[in-house]
Amino acid sequence: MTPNAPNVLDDAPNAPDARIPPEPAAGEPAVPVLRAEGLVRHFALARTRLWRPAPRLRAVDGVSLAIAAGESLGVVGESGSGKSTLARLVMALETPSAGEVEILGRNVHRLGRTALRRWRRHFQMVFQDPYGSLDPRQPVRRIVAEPLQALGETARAARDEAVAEVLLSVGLRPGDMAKYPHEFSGGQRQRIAIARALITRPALIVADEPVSALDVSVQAQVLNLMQDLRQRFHLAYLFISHDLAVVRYVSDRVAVMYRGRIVEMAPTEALYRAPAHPYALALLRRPAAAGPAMGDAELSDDMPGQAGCAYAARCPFAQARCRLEAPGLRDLGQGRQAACHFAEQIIAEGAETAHRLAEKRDRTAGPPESG
Amino acid sequence: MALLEVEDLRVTLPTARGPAAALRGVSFSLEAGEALGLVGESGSGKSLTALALLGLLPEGAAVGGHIRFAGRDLLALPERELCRLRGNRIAMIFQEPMTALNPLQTIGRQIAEPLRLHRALSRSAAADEAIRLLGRVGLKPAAGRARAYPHQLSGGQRQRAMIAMALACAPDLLVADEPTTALDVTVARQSLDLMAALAAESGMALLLISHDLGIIAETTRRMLVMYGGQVVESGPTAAVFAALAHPYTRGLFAARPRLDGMPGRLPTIPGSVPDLADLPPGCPFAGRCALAIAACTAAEPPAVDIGPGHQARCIRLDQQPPAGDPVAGGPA
Ligand SMILES: Nc1ncnc2c1ncn2[C@@H]1O[C@H](COP(=O)(O)OP(=O)(O)OP(=O)(O)O)[C@@H](O)[C@H]1O
Ligand SMILES: Nc1ncnc2c1ncn2[C@@H]1O[C@H](COP(=O)(O)OP(=O)(O)OP(=O)(O)O)[C@@H](O)[C@H]1O
Ligand code: SF4
Ligand code: SF4
Ligand SMILES: [Mg+2]
Ligand SMILES: [Mg+2]
Repeated sequence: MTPNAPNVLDDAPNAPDARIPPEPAAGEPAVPVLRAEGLVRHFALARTRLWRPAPRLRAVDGVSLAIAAGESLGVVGESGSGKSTLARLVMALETPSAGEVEILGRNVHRLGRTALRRWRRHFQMVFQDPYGSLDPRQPVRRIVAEPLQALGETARAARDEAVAEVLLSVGLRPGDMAKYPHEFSGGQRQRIAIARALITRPALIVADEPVSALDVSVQAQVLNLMQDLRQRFHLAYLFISHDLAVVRYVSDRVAVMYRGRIVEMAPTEALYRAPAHPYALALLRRPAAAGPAMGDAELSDDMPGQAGCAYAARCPFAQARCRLEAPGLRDLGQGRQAACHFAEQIIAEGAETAHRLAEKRDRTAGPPESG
Repeated sequence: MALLEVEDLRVTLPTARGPAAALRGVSFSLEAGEALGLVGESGSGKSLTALALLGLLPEGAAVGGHIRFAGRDLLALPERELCRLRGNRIAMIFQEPMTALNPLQTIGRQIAEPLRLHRALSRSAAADEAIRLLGRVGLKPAAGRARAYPHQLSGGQRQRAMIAMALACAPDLLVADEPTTALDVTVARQSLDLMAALAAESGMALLLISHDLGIIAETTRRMLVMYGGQVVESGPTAAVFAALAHPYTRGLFAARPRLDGMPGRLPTIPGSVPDLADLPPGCPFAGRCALAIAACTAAEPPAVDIGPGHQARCIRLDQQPPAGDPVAGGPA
């Protein structure tokens, strides 16, 4: 779609009722809760030289994925790899430069304002920063009820009841309703944010680093809570974290992002047992071996045609071919995809080879041969 | 004399349900060049302790006790003098980067400003120094990032910009409140290495608040564990990791998600933190402690010595399972 597609679906008279997720007809495959196709988001950066066009940064660079009802997809990747941008695109908080997002079968970037607001009951977000996302002037009662109000449900008694119930389910007290965000610690605020996301009983929750601000014992409670809620309400998650240990507890599948792209997507256990992409391997086997962060997905104006694999400069397996030919995301069977020419070998002999090569490279500082 | 001495720090906050005793007699000291770790339950008062050091407590807070920094009692200083210390001799990395950054100014400008103010650098020298610092925290290309506004950065990039800003004036004391929560292991380590290098070079002291026990183990020699507004355990980091003396410390260590762990449910500490406005008498952990007995709620447990420089506030320390318990694990 084009970024500013006309709002043809804006409150179309025959639009399905926004409250009821479409039930698949018997025999038909279920509509995925989320389907993203070819998502791209570019940002123009500040000009560094007067006579050259402003460099562009590809924060998200061609991401496709789908999440089924009740399924949890984890997204990991280093700082600046595009995780939050992906989350905002999925949530229709930002317009893609290309590509589309469907929530329960509807393209959210084509919904008009009112229709989108109503459709939001099906997909809610928990942000990375619980401070910026809670209005400091509103009491918890209003903050948590806000998505209901946006749907036009305003009977106060019913709302308060719903708020009390959802606060209890995230481990807060109904008595907290009258308090303001500043009266809570960081961890308590994140629970408020989760309560707010839950109150419309959505089908999908996009959670951007929902536990990274929490101390470990509260982190564990929130992770367990998210698991419980998922079972109770048949929720699907897009769960973003830079912490691989955290992602493992809540994900059926994991997508690994590097510089705006998915470089590996696999069932959680398969990925943690034997990753297929060298970056995933480095993250898992020896966190320090992922190497110094390379800055971020910056691109200068003259780089779009850059050949080869984006990970080549840090990859212990890199060979001549890698610098000439960019690997696409390939199907490896068993629900696995990876963007690496040597994915099969890396699954088979990953850990051993990686250690040997990394050590060899540390010694010689030159590009090693692959095993 | 220690660079920083905190003695019996007490903070009471007004709330809708009456005054809340948020800090209840926190004491510790910090030498120049030393890194002290602070861990504890969410809501236990870690951020308030940090804010108290900078004189930035919320409005209406009543403060008692002493905070001596380089021989001066900060609680007795007029706001004007405190202001001069902040950003120059004492710097803070805030837990919430977005509220600490000015959304209308470029990152480069926000780092350069205090350099001009406190170190009297020229405009261009300050701008160059800002770019150098951004490079050191791994924000690349640094010159381009210096021109970005906070909303143009990712969460981790903002956090690194804050780190650069706090380090700009080479403070004597850096209070870092969860400085690496948004960062993956490699970038977190890089940022902490930078802080450690500065501590070694310039004798900067570091108070590091983090829920990441791995980071505490790698960065600090001494640590404090807080619960319910009190320091419930304190001592050399290695000793705390080895002994896990206080029941809360044990629960905390058992709860951490691990890469090699089995998926499934994570162990947690049952129950939730007590309401500070309505604290039960005695040990604040009693409501959640498996070892609690009647005596625990009769009086506040005193700090008991359990090793060199190692103390814990619990009356049943003799009941602890032996060190090396399989659920606990030691420093990485
Ligand atoms: N509004 C914007 N303008 C310009 N650049 C942006 C903007 N928003 C994000 N970026 C850039 O896009 C890239 C991806 O950012 P994003 O926030 O998606 O990263 P992330 O993976 O969430 O990182 P983190 O783990 O640090 O939160 C970063 O390099 C960031 O600087
Ligand atoms: N302005 C305020 N008014 C009332 N209560 C407050 C205020 N600020 C903090 N509190 C309360 O004081 C207690 C300590 O808060 P603090 O922010 O220091 O916790 P913390 O240990 O930093 O937790 P976290 O790990 O979640 O950041 C909490 O119970 C919090 O609810
Ligand atoms: S394609 Fe080559 S450089 Fe890229 S990840 Fe695979 S081995 Fe490494
Ligand atoms: S004093 Fe009692 S309640 Fe408190 S930690 Fe020790 S055993 Fe538990
Ligand atoms: Mg992010
Ligand atoms: Mg805090």
